[in-house]
Amino acid sequence: MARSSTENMITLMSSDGEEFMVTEKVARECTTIRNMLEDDCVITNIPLPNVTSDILSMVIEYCMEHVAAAEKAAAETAEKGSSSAPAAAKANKDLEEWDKAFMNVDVYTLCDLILAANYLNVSGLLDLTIQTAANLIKGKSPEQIRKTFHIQNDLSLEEEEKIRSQTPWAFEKSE
Amino acid sequence: MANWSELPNDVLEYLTNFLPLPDYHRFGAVCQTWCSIAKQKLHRPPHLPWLVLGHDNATQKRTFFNLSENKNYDIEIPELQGQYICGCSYGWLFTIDTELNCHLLNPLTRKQYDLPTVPPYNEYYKTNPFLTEPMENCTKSVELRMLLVFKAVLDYDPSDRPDFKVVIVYGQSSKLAFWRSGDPKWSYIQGYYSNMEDVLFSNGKLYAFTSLQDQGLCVVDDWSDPKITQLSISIPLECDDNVACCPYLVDVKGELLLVQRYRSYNKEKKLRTTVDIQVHKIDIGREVSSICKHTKGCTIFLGKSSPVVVDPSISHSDRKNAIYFTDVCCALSASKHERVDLGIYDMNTRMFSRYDPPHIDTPDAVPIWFNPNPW
Repeated sequence: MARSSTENMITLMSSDGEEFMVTEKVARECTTIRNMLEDDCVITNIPLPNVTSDILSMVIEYCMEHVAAAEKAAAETAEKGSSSAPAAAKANKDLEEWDKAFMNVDVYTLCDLILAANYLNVSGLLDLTIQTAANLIKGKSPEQIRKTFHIQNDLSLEEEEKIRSQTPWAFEKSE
Repeated sequence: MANWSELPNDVLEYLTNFLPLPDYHRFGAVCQTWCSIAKQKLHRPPHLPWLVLGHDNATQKRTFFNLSENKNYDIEIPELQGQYICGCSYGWLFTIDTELNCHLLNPLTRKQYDLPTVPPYNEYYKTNPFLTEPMENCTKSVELRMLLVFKAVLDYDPSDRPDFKVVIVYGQSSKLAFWRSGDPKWSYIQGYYSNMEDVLFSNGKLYAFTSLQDQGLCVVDDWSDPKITQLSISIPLECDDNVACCPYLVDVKGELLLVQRYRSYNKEKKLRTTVDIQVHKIDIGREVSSICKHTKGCTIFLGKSSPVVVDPSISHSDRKNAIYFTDVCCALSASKHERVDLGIYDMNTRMFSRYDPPHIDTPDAVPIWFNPNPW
């Protein structure tokens, strides 16, 4: 789809000083930025001191993909009067596959993405990353969870025993 | 570098919404920060329900089958020893012991309400051909209590509202009675209406469905002087000698549905199995019903408990427009002690499939859907 030449471009600056030029539409996927733009519409340069360049580039990649998918769906609806159900289902499936591939990251990157999605308020990305983290937690013992996420156990033996004794059934090893 | 134990509290709280209850408890045992989040007890898992299965009297443990993990948990609940479960709403089990005392129990918090005895069992016995013991012994009869209360529903979660009500379908003629929290005894809902097959609270009103042809769907809305009012809504029924219909009232996102579960009788095995499911949408205002081909994307769980309705968009489940059903009586297949009439009906494909809880040899326990209510 041809981009209109009048579309505003916004520069996002990462914590390490790298600049990313994106369309206003892509930037608006981040609710935090959308609110800034609505408060002050002449803003064109936004520093993001909490997000590093490698994470910001991933967030932008996610937003661009989702904006493109939405635009494509809207264009199809406009062309045919209504969107055909099988085509929409396929598009959804494709986007889900893309999301899944996008989540093929290590737990450190995942954690940074969660923080960035939370800070920039990209609800789709926050749900995607949180769901991925939840899937990594499911079915694991506390010890296995710590290992997966590289978390130091700072609970004393007594504290841990007390927690386990409240719902012992949740900590029994499955046979 | 990012550290998982140092994520902001609101993010960790949000994360716990994505975890089924057992994982939520394990999450709380990982580190100090995660423990402090779990301790807030904010979590209400919008996940798939569990099935309550049999009780092991030796260990006093009750087996729960968690569908989302396909795994069972044995939880020590001494209060459930000797109890027959005849209903479940909001994670509270309605139980009857061998003395015919009724209780409401949240098996996870183990908070319990003692309810008055359901009185009409004397009268009930005289006319009931299923009871094998003479009257004198019958007060402690195991069989009697299984037949005494057919269904029990709550209007609100007792954890949220202390002024809750319980409605039961009781006795051989399947009439309605209710108990308001604090009442000294059960009250009977007036009217000649009987043969109630299902009851449901929806928007503060009680809907009941009777199998008697001239009655059908009824409503009780004024609880100061409760009366049953008949609604003139006709719902098609296709029963014959071999196929019986089990009706269920279900509230799906504010819409009232009547689900008809058709069960066919196998004369050789003397068992009933589900062969078809029809869903009718009921428009109370216009007093009409129409066939419904979906359940607004929701998954519905049917059995002896109040129906559990799960919205896949908030439960993170893949299944849409599916109906899970479980046995309505205690019958086990003679050879393998398998549950005989449980399965999943997919409304999109109109196909049946099975799910597999563990085989538990407890002949007097009917599997019951249970929505964990942990606080």
